Amino acid sequence: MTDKKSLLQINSLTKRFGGLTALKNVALSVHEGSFRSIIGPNGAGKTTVFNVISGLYLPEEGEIWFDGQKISGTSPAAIAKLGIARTFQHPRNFHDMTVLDNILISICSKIQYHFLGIGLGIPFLNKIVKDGEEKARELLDFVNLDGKRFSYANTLSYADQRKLELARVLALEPKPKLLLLDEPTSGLNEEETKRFMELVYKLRQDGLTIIMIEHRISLVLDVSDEILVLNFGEVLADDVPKMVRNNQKVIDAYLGPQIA
Amino acid sequence: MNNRNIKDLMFLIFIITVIPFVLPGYYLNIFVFIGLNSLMALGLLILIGYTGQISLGHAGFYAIGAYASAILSTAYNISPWFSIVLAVLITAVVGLIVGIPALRLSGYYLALATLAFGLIIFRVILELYQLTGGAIGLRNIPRLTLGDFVFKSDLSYYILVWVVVIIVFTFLLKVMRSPYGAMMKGVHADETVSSVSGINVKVLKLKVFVFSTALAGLAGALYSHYITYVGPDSFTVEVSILILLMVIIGGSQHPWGGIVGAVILTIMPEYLRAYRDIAIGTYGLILMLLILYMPNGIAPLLEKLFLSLQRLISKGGSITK
Amino acid sequence: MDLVYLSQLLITGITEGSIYVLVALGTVIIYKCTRVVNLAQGEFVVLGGMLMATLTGVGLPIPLAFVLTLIIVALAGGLVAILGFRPYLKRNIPFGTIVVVTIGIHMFLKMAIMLIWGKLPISVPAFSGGIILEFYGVYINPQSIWVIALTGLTLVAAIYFLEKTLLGKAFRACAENRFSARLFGINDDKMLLIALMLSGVLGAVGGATIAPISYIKYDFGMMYSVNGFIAAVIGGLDKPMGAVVGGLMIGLISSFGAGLFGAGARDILVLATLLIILVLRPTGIYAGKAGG
Repeated sequence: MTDKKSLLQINSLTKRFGGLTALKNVALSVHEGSFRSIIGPNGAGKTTVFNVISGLYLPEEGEIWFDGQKISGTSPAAIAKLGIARTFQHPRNFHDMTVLDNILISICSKIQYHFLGIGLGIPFLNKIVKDGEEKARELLDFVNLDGKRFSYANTLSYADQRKLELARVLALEPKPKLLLLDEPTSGLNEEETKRFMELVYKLRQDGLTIIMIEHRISLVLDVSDEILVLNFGEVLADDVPKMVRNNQKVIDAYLGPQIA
Repeated sequence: MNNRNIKDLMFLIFIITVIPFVLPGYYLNIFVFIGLNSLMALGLLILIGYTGQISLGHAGFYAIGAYASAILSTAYNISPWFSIVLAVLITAVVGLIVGIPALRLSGYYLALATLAFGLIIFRVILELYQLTGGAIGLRNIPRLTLGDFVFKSDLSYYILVWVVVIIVFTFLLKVMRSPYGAMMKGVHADETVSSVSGINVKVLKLKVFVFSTALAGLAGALYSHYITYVGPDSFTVEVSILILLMVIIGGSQHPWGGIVGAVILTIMPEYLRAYRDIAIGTYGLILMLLILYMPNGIAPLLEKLFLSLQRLISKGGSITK
Repeated sequence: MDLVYLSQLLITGITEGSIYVLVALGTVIIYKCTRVVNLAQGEFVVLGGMLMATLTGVGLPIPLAFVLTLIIVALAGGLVAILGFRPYLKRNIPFGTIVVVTIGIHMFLKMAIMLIWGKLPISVPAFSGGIILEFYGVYINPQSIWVIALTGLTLVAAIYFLEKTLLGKAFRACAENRFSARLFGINDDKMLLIALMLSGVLGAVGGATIAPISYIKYDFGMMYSVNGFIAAVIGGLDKPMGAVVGGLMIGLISSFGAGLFGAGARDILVLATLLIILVLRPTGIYAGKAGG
């Protein structure tokens, strides 16, 4: 495990909100191509970790390194461009836009600097848009939403909105290297969960590094390479699933005694 | 350019070409103003309808464009065409200076800040009377010329202004209907999601703001060489509010909203003027009713009307075949 | 720096500021209840002055005229609520657009006032006679005292209403959270009526008391509305106490600005103050409760 390149490195991360310490001394090391899970009771700080990684929060202490670069303190847009994609606990899309536009915003993000160019119809920008439209349809195909590409995001079912969000974050330009999934299957029934996780496994097979926050331990116990357990903002355990499952502290705090 | 844009442009060019033949000459003056107002309204349209910002001080930028072009072409003897270009640049720079701190404001706070800006510019124009002529204003602003031809008649200026409007409209249609347009709306809808999608929200908002001020400056500069006189009364807060009304009534979410609003709210006050005392109350009532029954503006409804007319005509065509 | 002159400016400032306080408070009340800034607020002030003029003109004693004025403007406020606010709120029209509606209301009211009272400024008798008081060389118009005193009383009454009475408390709950308030059975429409009527009365107190010393014309409404809006924003758009602070600030800056630097400087100083505060503290000067 130590010879594989560490894609994401978090050292002594501390995040406070006024008097509340949401994260205390959190450390996390994620190797390229691995599937990491973060579990813990509600309020343990799992989403806060994601918020700090993606640049939405500034940590009080600690550093985050990604792909050899220090990213703590950088803007969310810059971090996204470095290759970190994230979803939210409740699917956050652009609700008053079509599915296709949702994807295009990410895929064609390069044109954000070319206001004048777009208006003047400069060919290389038109090409970016055209290519973007093709790539968008491929992505939508992957999540099975191509048929609904002209539907407005807020008319989609909850499961479809989750899939749209997944496609949207995969559409990041340049292609994301790290995917942060925040409880992506909450609110989905068994069938929908199964199908969603199939997509996630496929992404993993394609070499994408994934960190997933999950509530349903059963989902992650089998597929994770390593599991990070948080409780009250502190790391309770960080180990392979088998060890975590048998870790007394974790059992007491979270899993409950009957899982043997 | 995609089909829809071409259709829209053809329609606009058609209307603009037909009007001088259909309406008596004295109407052209109003249509010059509709054109100038359209420029400003288009700028406000992408600012308000797309990126969700607001400005109640656009008359200030209109003034800067007008006075800058006037002063450059009179006191500094610069050719009017060139002074227009310079005036637009100057306005854009001021727009940048105002736009940067404005980024941290939104909603009512931004509205007030821009309102304050507009009022301050008004005051400054009055106070700096050495430069601006104060309350008296500046006269004898040179007209635009092309070789021997002078842009003096209403018809010539009508053509000039609307050529500019058509160019700007073409430009904006492409932007609004491209993924850039979706980005603009996205930045308004959800800044966080936009950021994590790799969009630099502040830069985008600032660009749109500066562009909208530049358009107002362009309108102002063109205005000064048309009327050949500028005075502070043309740049009051009422003008700022009028342009805002054009966008709201026209339809802030619709690409045609700016032009439709400009047509309605340039013509309506002229028409109501005849009613003198009850004019302003009627105006207010009409506004209230328009917003009540057409809260998304008039442009979307006009579009639906045209589409159904189109369908009717094409259906009619195939029946008679 | 003549102390007498400064004191004069101080009194003028507080007097003028009182009107802005009343308008600002009315603006805040309507804002808290509907998230809409009412740009027709100033018309209530003008109405107050105009009605006082007419009622005293037909011979009614001042206290009676005053009370009647307040009642009539309250009714006007009610009408504005029902015809000018409710239809739009019910249709979920965005707040910014409803502000444009209030501009329409302002235009309509302005026309109505012009048709009824004409374009000339009105005259209202001073409440306690025209003799100017003198205090160590400082001249105080007794009407100023009326303005300040009645403003203060009105504020106390308004605060009493909002803090102590059942209806007032229900109103505050509505203002805090319309949805939850509805769950508790508080009537939305009633709250809207109260907001507008209360704001109307506040404005009318201002107009009625300042009319004798300041000349009020049919088209002064927008000036009061904008200044009240600025005052409300300076104080933090959703904080009633902020409106008081903001209103007084604008009054004082206006007075001292004009008195020390000339009439042209007055506007620029007020606007500059506004801009500085907006850039430094967009949520207003008066921090009040955290997260309020």
